Amino acid sequence: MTGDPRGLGAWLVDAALDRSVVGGYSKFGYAMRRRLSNWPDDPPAGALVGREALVTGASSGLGKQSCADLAGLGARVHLVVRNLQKGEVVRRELLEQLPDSEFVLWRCDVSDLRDVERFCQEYAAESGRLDVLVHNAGVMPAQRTESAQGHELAMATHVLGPLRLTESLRPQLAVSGSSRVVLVTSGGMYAQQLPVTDPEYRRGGYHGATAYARSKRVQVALLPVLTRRWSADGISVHAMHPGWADTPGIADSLPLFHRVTRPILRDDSEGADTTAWLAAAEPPPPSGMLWQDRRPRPEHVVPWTKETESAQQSMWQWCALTVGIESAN
Amino acid sequence: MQIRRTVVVDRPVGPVFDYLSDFANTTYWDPGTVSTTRSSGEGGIGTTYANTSKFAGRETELTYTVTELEPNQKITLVGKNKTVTATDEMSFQQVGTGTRVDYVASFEFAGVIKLLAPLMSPAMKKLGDEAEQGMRSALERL
Repeated sequence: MTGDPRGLGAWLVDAALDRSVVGGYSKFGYAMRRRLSNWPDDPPAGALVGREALVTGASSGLGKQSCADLAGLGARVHLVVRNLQKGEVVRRELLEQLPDSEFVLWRCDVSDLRDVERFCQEYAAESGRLDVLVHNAGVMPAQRTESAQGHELAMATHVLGPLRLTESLRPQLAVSGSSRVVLVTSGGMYAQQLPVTDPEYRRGGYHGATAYARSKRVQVALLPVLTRRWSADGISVHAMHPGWADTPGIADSLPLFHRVTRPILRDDSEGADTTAWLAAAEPPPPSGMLWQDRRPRPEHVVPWTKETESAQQSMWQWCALTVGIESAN
Repeated sequence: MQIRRTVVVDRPVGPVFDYLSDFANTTYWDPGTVSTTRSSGEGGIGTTYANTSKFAGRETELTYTVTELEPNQKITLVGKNKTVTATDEMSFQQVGTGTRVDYVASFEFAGVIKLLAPLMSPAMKKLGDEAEQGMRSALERL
């Protein structure tokens, strides 16, 4: 803040939108913030020319939009999808939209740690570097479902797989000395505590939306550890939540929420905006924070979700031991 | 009333179980314990421990008995005195090269104290947080 009353006013409006949830997370929040005097500048044109970007869950919703945004800034974009046929359709659509860009299609099930390992080996053989890594793939299972290694699927897809993938591509991410990892998280995590006593969701009735939000809480809680761990390689890590975006994920998993809120849901470009901004903004946004609409946001809005440092450490140890990486920093 | 805590450390389950299943070690790892000494038995089912704990500023004495023991998997102890029955249950699970310990402490109060129990929940939370931190630090040193 600068003491400039207009700057202060803009800051207040932005913060008020965030705390009101509906105001901030809807399309109106985005539209209003864009008009505020303190809206952070777009990344410089061509900021990602000569860079390699990878987006998981690239075949639908926010993922596809992020691919377009990153390619628009000059990156060569790797689409990671589970279904190659669906992915190929998306790749063609992106090419029509951005004919001068390059899109590379890969198949990988992010929830499957062995498949992640296989993919990373293939990627490393094909491309020597990675500059932007967007963990966008998401699931909200209707029933408790297990990954190939027997882990609860939301946790496997949003936390374990992304951790394994990033760790395995660390040599490629270290090449530029200034690479950026973005975790697409969710405002739903504000209502959840860190699930350290039940990471596999074995106790209590299973709700996909709860499993989803718990795993997103884990993403945010791991930020301090991941920041320390990866900073030595010049890798920064950011979590962003898109607000309420109208994506196929939401329409399928939360039909009632979708019906009620559709008129105010964000479109993909509004939801995905902060992802590409984090990937390319100058000066680089500081590592280890939670963002929405190009601004850092609090990690907790109610006191009872705050975890102890020991719980954070246990959660991290569980994740590291489960995916099989050295947990010391 | 129940406190549930989980500690995950990169230490093999064998030494973690050996350390925690010797309840006398609460003297070292549990900040809420003033002292615990073995009064009978060799550590198996039926072994008893004399425990002095500090809770909400007061010292209380409990006699703990091992009621359940499965090596490297689970140990349950029940501690009693006139006002409270405490059940401490620790279960152990291998995670990769490390161990996850799930620790559940349940308290049942006798008589009028029962009515006051809800007032104690902030103190219980503090007790749980300190025990969790203490257990983590001790296991990391194994």
